Amino acid sequence: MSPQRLGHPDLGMGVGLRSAHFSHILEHQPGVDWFEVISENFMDSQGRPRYVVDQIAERYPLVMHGVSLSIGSCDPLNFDYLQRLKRLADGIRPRWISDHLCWTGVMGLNTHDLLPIPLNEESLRHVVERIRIVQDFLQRPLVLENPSTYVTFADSTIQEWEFVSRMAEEADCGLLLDVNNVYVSSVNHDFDPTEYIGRLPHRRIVQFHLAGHTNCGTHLIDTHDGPVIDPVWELYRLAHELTGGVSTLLEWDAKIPEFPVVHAEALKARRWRQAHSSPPPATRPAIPAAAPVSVPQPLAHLVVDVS
Amino acid sequence: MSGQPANLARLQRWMQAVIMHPDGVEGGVGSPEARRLVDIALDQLEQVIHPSRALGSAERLEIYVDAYHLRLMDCLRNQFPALVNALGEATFDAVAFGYLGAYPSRGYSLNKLGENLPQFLAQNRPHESAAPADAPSSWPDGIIELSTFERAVQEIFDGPGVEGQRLLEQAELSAIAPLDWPGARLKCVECLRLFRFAHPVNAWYSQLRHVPCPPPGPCESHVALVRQDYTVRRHELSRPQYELLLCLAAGSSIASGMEAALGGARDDVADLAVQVQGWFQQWATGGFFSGVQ
Repeated sequence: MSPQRLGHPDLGMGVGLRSAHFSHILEHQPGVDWFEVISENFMDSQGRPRYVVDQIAERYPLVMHGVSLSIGSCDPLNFDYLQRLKRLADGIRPRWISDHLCWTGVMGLNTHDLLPIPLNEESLRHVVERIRIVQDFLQRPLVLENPSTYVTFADSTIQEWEFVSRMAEEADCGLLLDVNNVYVSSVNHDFDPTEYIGRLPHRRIVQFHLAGHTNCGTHLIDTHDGPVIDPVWELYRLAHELTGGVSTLLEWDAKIPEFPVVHAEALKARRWRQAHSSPPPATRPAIPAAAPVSVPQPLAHLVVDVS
Repeated sequence: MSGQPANLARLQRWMQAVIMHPDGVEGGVGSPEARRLVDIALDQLEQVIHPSRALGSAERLEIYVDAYHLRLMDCLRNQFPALVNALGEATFDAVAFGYLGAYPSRGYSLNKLGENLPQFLAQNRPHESAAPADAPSSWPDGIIELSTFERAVQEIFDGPGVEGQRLLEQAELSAIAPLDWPGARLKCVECLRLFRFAHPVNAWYSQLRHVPCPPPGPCESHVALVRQDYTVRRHELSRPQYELLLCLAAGSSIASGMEAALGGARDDVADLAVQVQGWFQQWATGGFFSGVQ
């Protein structure tokens, strides 16, 4: 049996590193337990982004979170990408490397979206085989996140929780449980999110994600643009109980406020983790109005400093 | 690896063809490329994608179609803020939409998403009907130049720099013996880029970074971009300065550079000699040179 969290520590409450906050973090060195960095933003950087992440790596534990591994794609694995990913990991020494159970493009193109795969035996074999190759190349276990999804395929024959569980066991990889994504998908696809979380292999969960989303009335979109809502805190409580607590990261990728606002939301979760009590109150409910231009995250690009 | 999973591969190609199609789900599902992969009409979409209790199959797929274009157009807006102000949001979005169709992303990073936008604008010149009322007839050329400049700023920002490396200092320049000066070759830093424009692009860019402003008329300008302390710095140049630096960057001697700067005119030699010393001091301070070859 694999060790709890694949042997990784519970780092506490982390925050996603975004370029809008670089200066604040370097200047104030806030009391954040750890940072998660978008791998692709730093893999090729020879400028300020790489300088900043090197500085932060000296002060905080880091985790690398990718958005373009495209583990579910039918394109061949991109070994140039993997080589650069490994080189970055050698440089900033993350505690682990994660990405998503998704595909981002085929035929050499990248949609920069986390697209869903049909959940069946064929795609499970395909994904498991590719995870093993990537893990061999990176010489470490991969940690994969359940994405928010907006369609279900006629070709799907397996429940998502079962697919994720079998994938983790057969490929011997870790799981990044995005609690908000479970909630978003459960509303969009009409399943019970507590059953989903309850049936996962909890020992393989290395990390949680928390985030806000947008309620479009007929469906939810994973926009990462606000505080976490109460039902997601409830699911987080369940996941926390079932796992015994794992590293938790607050994502905020759109309408990004000043760092202290993001940090305050993370501190809210940290206080709750420490108290093991009821979830903290949400600062606002899910947005009830339809928001037709809501864009699912991630967005991962840089802000340029020019004088 | 074992063979490609045929059903998954076909589904992914089909879905990508639909998502990236400029005419939305209806146009995408009905496109020849999509129908070659999965031959269904829009009203048969349930054969591939289940409806939910609240949304039909096409509405669910439309979420990905919308997100694809909106996400990448938003990214381009963030990468070209001055160009957005120059074109106006509606025109920029139309340009960005066309660009994504012509140059879909092939990279793993969004940071390179806009790398071909100047080329796209050169191939698809902005129509004069999109120009402000008082714009000069050269407005499309100014827009192309502005996009080239703004993209270069991004490339220099995240490209190779010289932070932490030893650069040529003023004292070292002063130490070059007068007799050695004409034959000396200065090594320019990798992050130095030189531009000659038909419009005052640098000044326009300065204004456009903050607010929309009227387009300038044609007026030749020269500018150097260089990175210092991880910040991209802009240096307006005169024509002789540009010609001199262009020669130095190509590995020529200072004497050759001076010849080019004079452009064949001999009357200005004395004036130029006086000025040049100040230029080199200024450029050394600005981090233009890494040493003497």
